[in-house]
Amino acid sequence: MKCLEVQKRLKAFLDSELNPKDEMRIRQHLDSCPQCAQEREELSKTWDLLSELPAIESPGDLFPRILQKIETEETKGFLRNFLGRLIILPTYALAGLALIVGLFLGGTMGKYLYSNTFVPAPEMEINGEGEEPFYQEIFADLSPRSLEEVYFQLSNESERNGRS
Amino acid sequence: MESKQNWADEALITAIARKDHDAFRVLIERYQGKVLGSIYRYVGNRNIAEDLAQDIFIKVYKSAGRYQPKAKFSTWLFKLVVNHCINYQRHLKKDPFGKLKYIEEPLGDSDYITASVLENKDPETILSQKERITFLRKAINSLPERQKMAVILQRFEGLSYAEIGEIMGCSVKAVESLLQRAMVTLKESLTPYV
Repeated sequence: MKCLEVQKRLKAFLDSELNPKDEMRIRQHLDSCPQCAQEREELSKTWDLLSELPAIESPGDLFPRILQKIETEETKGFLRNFLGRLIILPTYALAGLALIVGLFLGGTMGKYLYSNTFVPAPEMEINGEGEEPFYQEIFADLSPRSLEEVYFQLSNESERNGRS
Repeated sequence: MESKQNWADEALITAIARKDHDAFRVLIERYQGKVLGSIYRYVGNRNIAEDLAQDIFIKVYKSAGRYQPKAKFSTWLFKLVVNHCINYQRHLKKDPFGKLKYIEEPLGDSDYITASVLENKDPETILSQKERITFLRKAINSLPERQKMAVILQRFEGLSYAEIGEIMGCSVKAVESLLQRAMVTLKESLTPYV
């Protein structure tokens, strides 16, 4: 094995994390390579040095503090939901009420406007007979100097002119 | 009433899913040392470590119902620790004013540190050791996030490469690479003491 290859795996070697075959090859190399053996020593000392890093003692009241935090969060969550519902429900109710009122008002106004602004056309007076609906008896005589009589005369003239 | 002290982790978590506070207390007492220790070594500040530890146990409580016993509970727990710590670190880096919170605690007499490190030693030795520890902390803190976490999990929690890989979501080869690079960097940083 080459030095570079060995040095890349020294940490795993020190931790006994290599498979037996690789471990044996590295061990053989270290037995014959002072440089890699030196590197192994230095890594091992560095690793041992880390044990000087102090630990921390657990506080005795971690559990009650955690429980209190959970209960506070649950209370806040409950209040948030409750207040949320308090706001949302009336909002929906108000929206529904506004819709009903709007429909009612719209309908009422529509009826009022229809009944007060729509004026049916006056009955047309034909020959002084005002109340009867107007209709033309097909074979009745045309009233003299009425529009119908003038039109009739004109159309007869144009017909006579066309024949001649 | 049967004591829950002897219950397996999976039994405790099932009880916690039913909001059993007694089971939750037992679980916290069982793991608070490891969780707090790992976080403290990662962030270097006692108050922040305690806050983060609380966050993690609260997450355990809230997600107990979703825990699937496919892997060991401790693996699942340490996954939460790793993700929470790394996310915290990244959040800190993005927030320039947050750096004011990330203050490494200098070692002092009133520090929350196991006394055994410094007991029965003369003042000169204690001072010298404090300096070394400060130096050690700086060296570890200078490591990239994932290398730092891999070192903490292996050196202080005694986890195997396979376990670390499962926790950190990477292969054994990747863990080996993380640790090898971390050790080379630490060796160079700690040359005066090696």
